[in-house]
Amino acid sequence: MNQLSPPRWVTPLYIAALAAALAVLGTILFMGISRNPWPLDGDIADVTINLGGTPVREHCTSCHPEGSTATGSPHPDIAPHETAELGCTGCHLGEGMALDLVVSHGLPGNGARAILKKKDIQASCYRCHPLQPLAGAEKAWNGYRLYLQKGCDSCHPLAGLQQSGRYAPDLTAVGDHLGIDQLVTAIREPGREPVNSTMPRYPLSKRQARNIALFLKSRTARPLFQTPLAQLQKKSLLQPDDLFPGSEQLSPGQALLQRKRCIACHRYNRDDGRIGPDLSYSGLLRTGTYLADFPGDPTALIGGARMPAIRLTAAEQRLLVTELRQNADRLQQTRLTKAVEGRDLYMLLCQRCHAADGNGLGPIAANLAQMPRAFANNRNFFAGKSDKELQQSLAQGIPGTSMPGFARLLSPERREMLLDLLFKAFIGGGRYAKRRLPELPPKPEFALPAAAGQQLFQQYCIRCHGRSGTGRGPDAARLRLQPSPRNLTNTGYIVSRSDNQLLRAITYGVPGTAMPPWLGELDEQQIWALLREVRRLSVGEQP
Amino acid sequence: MSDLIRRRLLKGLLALLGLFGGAILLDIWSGARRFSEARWQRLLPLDQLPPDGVVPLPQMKVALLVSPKKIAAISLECTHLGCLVTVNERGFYCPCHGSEFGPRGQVYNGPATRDLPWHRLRLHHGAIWVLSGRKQTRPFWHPREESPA
Repeated sequence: MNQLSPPRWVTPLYIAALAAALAVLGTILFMGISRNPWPLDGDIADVTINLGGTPVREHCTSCHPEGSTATGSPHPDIAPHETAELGCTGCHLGEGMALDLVVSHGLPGNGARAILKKKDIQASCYRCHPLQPLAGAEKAWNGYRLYLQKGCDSCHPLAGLQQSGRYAPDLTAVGDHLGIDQLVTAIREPGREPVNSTMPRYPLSKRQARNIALFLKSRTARPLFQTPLAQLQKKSLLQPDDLFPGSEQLSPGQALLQRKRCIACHRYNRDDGRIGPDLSYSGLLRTGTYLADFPGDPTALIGGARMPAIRLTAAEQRLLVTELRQNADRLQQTRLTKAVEGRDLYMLLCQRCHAADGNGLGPIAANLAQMPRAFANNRNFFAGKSDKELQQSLAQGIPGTSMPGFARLLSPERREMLLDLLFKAFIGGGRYAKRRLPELPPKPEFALPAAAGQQLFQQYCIRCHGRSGTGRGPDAARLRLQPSPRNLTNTGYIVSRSDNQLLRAITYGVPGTAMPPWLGELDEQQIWALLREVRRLSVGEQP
Repeated sequence: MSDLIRRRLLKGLLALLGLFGGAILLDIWSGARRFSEARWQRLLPLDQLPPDGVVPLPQMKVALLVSPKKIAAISLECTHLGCLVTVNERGFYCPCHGSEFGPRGQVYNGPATRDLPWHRLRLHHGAIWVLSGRKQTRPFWHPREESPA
């Protein structure tokens, strides 16, 4: 017996492993069986239903005979429909062919096929019926009206609408991909998934969001009872006539603002969409050409603006400018003359962006292309700006951003009053107590080649400013930088900055932001090369 | 010694696996014939019914036997090889092999040996519905009025 015999403990190990495997197998089988309250003796219904030419096969009636609920209460009368002819999954969704309790009721996750129960069933009405008021589908119809009223179609494409934006994801078949709860979440918390979503958070109640979700759930790529030919022709969706009740009493200009859904986001006198800037005063804050051109191409005037392009005819542009101008004139003579104190002016004109407590996180700040400057706790920044610069920013605005110039709206004394208030209430330390600014690096005799500037940018800047300089680098979203890194492709802004201003920001950083000083890391030549690269990015020149 | 135990263990394991596999196959086998295509299908509105006679509905493979008081649904599938039988004044006639059935579906003649089967029937929302896919040997007569459910 030279042969090596296995050690003695091998045999018990075999037995233990075998017992464990059997136990696992038994547990899995037991769990699978006990999870399914399957009628083990009854028939398994295997019904094929013809839904407008589409065969739909399902087993639902094995557990739900004639559409009864799990507790045995019968299906409500749905005449003129018949449960026997429509089947279950056509309206209630779910996986009709599954023989498992969890799978057949729609897998969790995105909930694309999650069962629709009770009142949610009206999400299915418009899968077959044309979009028009329908008894029993009031919530879904209301959701469609809200969809149009809130201007969802200004950004999201939707098949069948006469005109819709091409700015946001297509919602034509969104009902095939998301469940109602997921749609509500997507509407109410746009930034949750994906985190860099640019959709603003609409001030919608839970019920309103659910109504919109009920409407969107009916948008499907393959509507039943519609032949491919009918789909090809894409019958256009009905536009309700009374979308805005009471609009007959409005002036033509106001009606235009309502019809183009400006008020869905912007504030205009008493109407407030709570998403975009206040348009009440903009007639005196912006020039006529600016106001006429802005809606058609917002990003051309404010780099990275989130507002979708709104097409206006020349006549509509004129009407818009006249309306805004007249309104601003009127307000200047009434509401603004009544505001005697700087505090009142601040609350009327500034707090929407800069916030009532001056921290730059106003109610609409998150929706702006660039975050408003914080006043509170930002003394270092303002101590480094000369008073003349600040006066000019207030009077002329900051090009390429949402900050307008107040020169025409406010008299010089009132602007002084506002600046005094900012320092007194938020910034502190006295308006004329300025920091001595350090020397800027002189222009080197020999400039580095442009390629070196590009390489330096890729090495030092892209983590925050992004590879193309849009200010959306990986760290910007990851670290939730506030204010967000500057969009360097914003031509209007960068062009308006002098070389000295940009050099100062690169060399010594920007107080109150995440921009660090680069002087220790880089030498003069490199800083000047970066300046050149920023100038190149800002005008979109090819290297 | 340990070799012997291991061999025995292996045999036991194989037997257990076979048992499990067999159980699964048995379950599938027994489940396969439990699938039933039975479903209620709408035939025609109640007010289109004649007062008396036979209404053949060949596309549904069903004929309605109508009397002033009650209705029944008889299958039109021949019990021999499943051809569609036609209705004539003496009863039903199968054109394929010449089977003949009486007015209530009794076999009179031909290769068929069993009577024509019957369907369950109900009145619902002013129409006549039959339970297709599941047949019975005894006639199922239903009163002509819709019962107040």
